[in-house]
Amino acid sequence: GPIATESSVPTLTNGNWTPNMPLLSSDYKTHHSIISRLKNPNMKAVPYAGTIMKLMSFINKFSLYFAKELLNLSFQDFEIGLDLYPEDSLGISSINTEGSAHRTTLYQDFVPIKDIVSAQDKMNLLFLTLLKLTFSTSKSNELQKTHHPHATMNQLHSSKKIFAHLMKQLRAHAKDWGYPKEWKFETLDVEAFLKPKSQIFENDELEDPVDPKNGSILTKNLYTWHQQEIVPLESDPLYISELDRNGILALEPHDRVILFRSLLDWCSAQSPQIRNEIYHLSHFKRDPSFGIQTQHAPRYMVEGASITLAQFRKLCSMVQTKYEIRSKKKHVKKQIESGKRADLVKKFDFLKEIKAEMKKTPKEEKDQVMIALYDKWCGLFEGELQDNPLSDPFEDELYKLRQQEFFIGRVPQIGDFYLPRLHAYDSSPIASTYRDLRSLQELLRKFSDGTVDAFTLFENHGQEMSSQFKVIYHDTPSVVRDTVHGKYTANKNYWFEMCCDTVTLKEFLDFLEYKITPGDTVKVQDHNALNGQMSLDDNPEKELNGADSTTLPPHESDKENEKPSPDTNSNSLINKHPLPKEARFNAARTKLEYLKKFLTDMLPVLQTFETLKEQYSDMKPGKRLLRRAQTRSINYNASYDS
Amino acid sequence: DIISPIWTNPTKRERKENYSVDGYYKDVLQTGRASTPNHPRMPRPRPFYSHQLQSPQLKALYEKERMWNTKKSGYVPTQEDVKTTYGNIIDEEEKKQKLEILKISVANAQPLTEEEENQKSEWEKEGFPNWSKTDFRKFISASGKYGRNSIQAITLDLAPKTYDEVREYAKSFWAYIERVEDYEKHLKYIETEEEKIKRVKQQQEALRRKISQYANPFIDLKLNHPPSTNNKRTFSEEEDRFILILLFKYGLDRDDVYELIRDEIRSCPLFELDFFFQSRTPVELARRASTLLQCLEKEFNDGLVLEDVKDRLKQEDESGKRMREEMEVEEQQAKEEQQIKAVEPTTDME
Repeated sequence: GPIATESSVPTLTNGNWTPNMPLLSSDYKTHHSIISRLKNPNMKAVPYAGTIMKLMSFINKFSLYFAKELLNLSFQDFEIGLDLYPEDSLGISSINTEGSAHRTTLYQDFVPIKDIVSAQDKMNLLFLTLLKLTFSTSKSNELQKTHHPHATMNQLHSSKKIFAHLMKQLRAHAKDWGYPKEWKFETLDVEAFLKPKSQIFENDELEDPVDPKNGSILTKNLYTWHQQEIVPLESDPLYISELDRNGILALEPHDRVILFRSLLDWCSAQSPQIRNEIYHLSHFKRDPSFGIQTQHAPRYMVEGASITLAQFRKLCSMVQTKYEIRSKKKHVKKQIESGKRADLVKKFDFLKEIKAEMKKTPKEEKDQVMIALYDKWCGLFEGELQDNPLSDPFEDELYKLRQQEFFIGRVPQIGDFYLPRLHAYDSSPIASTYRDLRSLQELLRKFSDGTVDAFTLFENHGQEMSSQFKVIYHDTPSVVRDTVHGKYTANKNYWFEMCCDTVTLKEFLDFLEYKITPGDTVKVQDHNALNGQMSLDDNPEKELNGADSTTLPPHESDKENEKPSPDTNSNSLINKHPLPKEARFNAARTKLEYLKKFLTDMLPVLQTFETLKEQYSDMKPGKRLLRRAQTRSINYNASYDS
Repeated sequence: DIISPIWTNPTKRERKENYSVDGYYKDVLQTGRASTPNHPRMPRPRPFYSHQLQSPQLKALYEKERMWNTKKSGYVPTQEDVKTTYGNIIDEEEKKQKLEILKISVANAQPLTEEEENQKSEWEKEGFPNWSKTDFRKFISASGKYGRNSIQAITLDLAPKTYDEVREYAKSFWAYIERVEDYEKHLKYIETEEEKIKRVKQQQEALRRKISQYANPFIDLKLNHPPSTNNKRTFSEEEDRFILILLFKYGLDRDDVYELIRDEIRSCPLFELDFFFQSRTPVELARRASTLLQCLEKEFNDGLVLEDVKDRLKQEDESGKRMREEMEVEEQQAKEEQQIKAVEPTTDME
């Protein structure tokens, strides 16, 4: 251990040792994302992704109010149930893989009809649950402690008119609660809207004050302001009468998204129960050590696993130093001799055990052993720290409300990545990946070495989890920039899909490799910060192993800044350019490495869930069924070679 | 001074008087209940409302007239009349005393002299007998709501009265405010309400100055006096900044400002996944905003009136300008000296 003097007691309180880390807007203060950098055939605009993730996150955080059928929704279930399609148009001319100019295949062309109906039912059940939550008359200030769904499939199927009464209430309140932007019409531009519509009096108050002793005229004139107009009744989606019978499916797909988003806002602002929960989750006696930040995410996603482990070791050595200094203090020795401080004695024992263990281990294994002694360290931390970098980011309710549970990485100059899957806060079934870093790594190992396979999942309530997934990219730098300048419009898209199953995930991992490997002779010209214009010399690409089959020359340029180039007629479907060599992109390369590492580790997990869906789609694991399934050896010859 | 025989006096101004129709006709027409002899009663005091701003001496004349009328009808006051004249009195002794006084005043009553009659009609022309209690209440609350000198706005709340009527009344009101019963109470109310208007104006100004200090307020804005640490912080600092920027965008005097802010929060892509912020109602946003505005007040001209601020800004600008000019002059002089020195390097050697 380090040599300690009385003066150098390390303070633990100043640092942030939490298992979560804030995601600050200022990270992207000066960054400009360039969408075309990520161009590849699997990248698709999904403008509705924000709303779907919002719904999924809401179900995660308030899962006790939702029926079981809603707790294993996947991103795809929302798309199928609401009939939403990713758009191929990226503002970059790309040839549709099927050779057709635009989408021709619909879900009913390739998804079994029973699955479509099931997804639609789930959407309506979700709709019904949110409505019921919003108008629940519960006055109880009790927090929900047990699973108590507000609506069930039975209710949905048993009554033809189940929505009528709730819709009537919704129509009565929606205007007060604030209509969505899309259902109002803006007759004016912002500038004009902010100016008074008219003044009531022709001239400002002109005459002498009636009270000469107090001469100031406080209200010289009165103004009327422009109001935002709601669309006329006949074109107001909320007044479509089919809503009363068919629920959310009565609307056009894009209006379904809008209504879901608004209903979620109305519900969280009006529902007595949800308000209660939010109050509870935002009024703890303590704050996270990084203060109240708009959003945060698990540390190992933000910093990467290796840095998180290093942080933990750093903390350990600080605590060790602290206790060594304490154990040498006279009054402490006295207290211990008189048997007054049993707690300290216990801690000093822990410290002895740890040191003994560390002495035995060879140098190259020290790091691992230090982590392996986690429980003993925690004994030492008691009373000193709330939590540590390796504790479970999802366990402490303190972090629940502002936690971005789908977050999987933040890459400077590019943006954030998300992997939306449900079941973040329940008593974790074997398959949940929402856990502390040590057991997550353990779990990933089990999946990759086959200890946990589809059948194990089937046995252990794997079906209660999302079986499909998407990796979603969020163009955060643009979001931050547009927010700073107050320029965000309803029709601007910041969400993109990067892959939608394990096949495309592998392609995405290969794609990331292009970005991480520094280019050979990439010359970056001055790029104009105002319009994010960037042009690179076309260079013969370094052939990479596992490269995509496309051999077209790459070409990167923004749509609006199309530069004439020798091969404009042959657009590559994949931008193979690495990130520019400049030093300021080093951080981005490092973060992309972390992202790639995590997704590579997650691949077996996601694969196993896909298999589970294929093989056990809707089988309910009962005792007899389980026995039979064990004796009937299912032939796995799905050869996934990563 | 020959008055034409066809001259008739102009009609007197109509007055609203609160009298009961039945009571009026009872004496005149002797209708109904003829069977029971009419208990003679002492005439009631003439209604006199202080907010109508008539001379308080008029009330004395009315009372004198009343005593005389009582005496004329040969009526002797009773305990009942003490009640109508002096209000409820608990103490028995005092009741008796008051009755004596009343009897004496009636016994000594005299009719109004001619001079007093003239005075009376003179004074009755003053004041605002057509201003009802309701009108008065509205006037007080509107004076608070808009500030006492905003007659156009006050008239708005006092329809169907005209601008000139209201202005006339307001002028008298402020000139003779002491005549009004409980005037301290009304004055206090108006002053505290006016204080609120002034405060909003100050806050608006503080907000303008704060926002203009930053090129990127959304990222960089920092409160010098952040909200007190003894209350639980539930909003993030970024959310606070967003609220302030939107307050500035829409202005504090719009009554729908918090609905507009709520809608902006919902459409801002940065807060798309922020349940806490999105679930705030206009009332809650208003509460937070007022906390933040108070913090701003501390930072700028606490307790200074807006006019003073303007003056001070002007002074600062002028003194800044003066300093700049002085500096330029000094620089110029320094340059000239330098040149002189350069030309004659050894002048001071003597």
